[in-house]
Amino acid sequence: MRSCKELREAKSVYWRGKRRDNNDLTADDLALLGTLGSVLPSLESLSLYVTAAGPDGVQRLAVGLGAGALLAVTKVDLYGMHVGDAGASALAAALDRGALPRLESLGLNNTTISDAGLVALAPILRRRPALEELYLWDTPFGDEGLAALLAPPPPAGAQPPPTGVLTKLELLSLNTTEVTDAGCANLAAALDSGLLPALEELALVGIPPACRQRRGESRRVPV
Amino acid sequence: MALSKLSGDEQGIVFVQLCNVLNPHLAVALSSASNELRTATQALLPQLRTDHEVAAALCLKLGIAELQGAARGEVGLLAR
Repeated sequence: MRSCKELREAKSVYWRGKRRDNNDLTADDLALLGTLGSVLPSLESLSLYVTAAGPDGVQRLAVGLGAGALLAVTKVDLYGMHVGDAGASALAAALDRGALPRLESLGLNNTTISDAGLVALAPILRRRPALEELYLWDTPFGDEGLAALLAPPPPAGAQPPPTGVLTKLELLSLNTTEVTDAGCANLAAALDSGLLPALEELALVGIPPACRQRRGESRRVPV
Repeated sequence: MALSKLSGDEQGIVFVQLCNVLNPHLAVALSSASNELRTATQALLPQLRTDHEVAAALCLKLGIAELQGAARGEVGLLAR
């Protein structure tokens, strides 16, 4: 990519930061990338791994994403970056503004998001009916965050809401999060009640044994 | 309606809508279309130039990383 034209026409941007690389992406670069979101109509996939962008890089990227930004992007994968609760909230705000309207796959692995961050992000994600994959492994949220992600069950006798549930979610990765037995029980109840009806793969490595046992009981969640 | 018939504010709006820091040529071409347009957009061109230079530096950075990654047999950046 040696010209702006190539970035303008790129379908995929994949960046893996390198240790001791003085030319790694900075927070300023990510902030700029966010503002460029409105002029990257061809971009379909954005993957950023372990950059030197510091504690607010992802937050600044998200702040720059306006309505309709990254119009064609279906996959965002952030790995090993400090997103944190502030970054998660900023990402939620960007999605709420209408950025990433075609998002199908979101990876936030090893991104320091705790319960507060996921509580902020979850309601927005639930309003994204196209979301098919959500990767959250190695992320320090627990039961509260997971509960926020699962749409609350409708009152007895009430029809399920037409929106606000992850109706197309096929993959949910919760590996090595801080979800406990109680959170797993909540998840199991949600699955039993028909939430996440499209779920095909649930990754639960590194969380309490009861969860894995429950996983083994479920025929429609063959991991 | 001819562009020249628009007010200065309206011409400025059209210009701003055409400002793309990754592709500033359209806006610059519009600015050069007539004396009136040049006058109306004169104050906006320096900011576009500055923003384009910053964006071009990021493009260059991405390009350099791509070349370095390829040289080391690593995948550093893919932009296809």
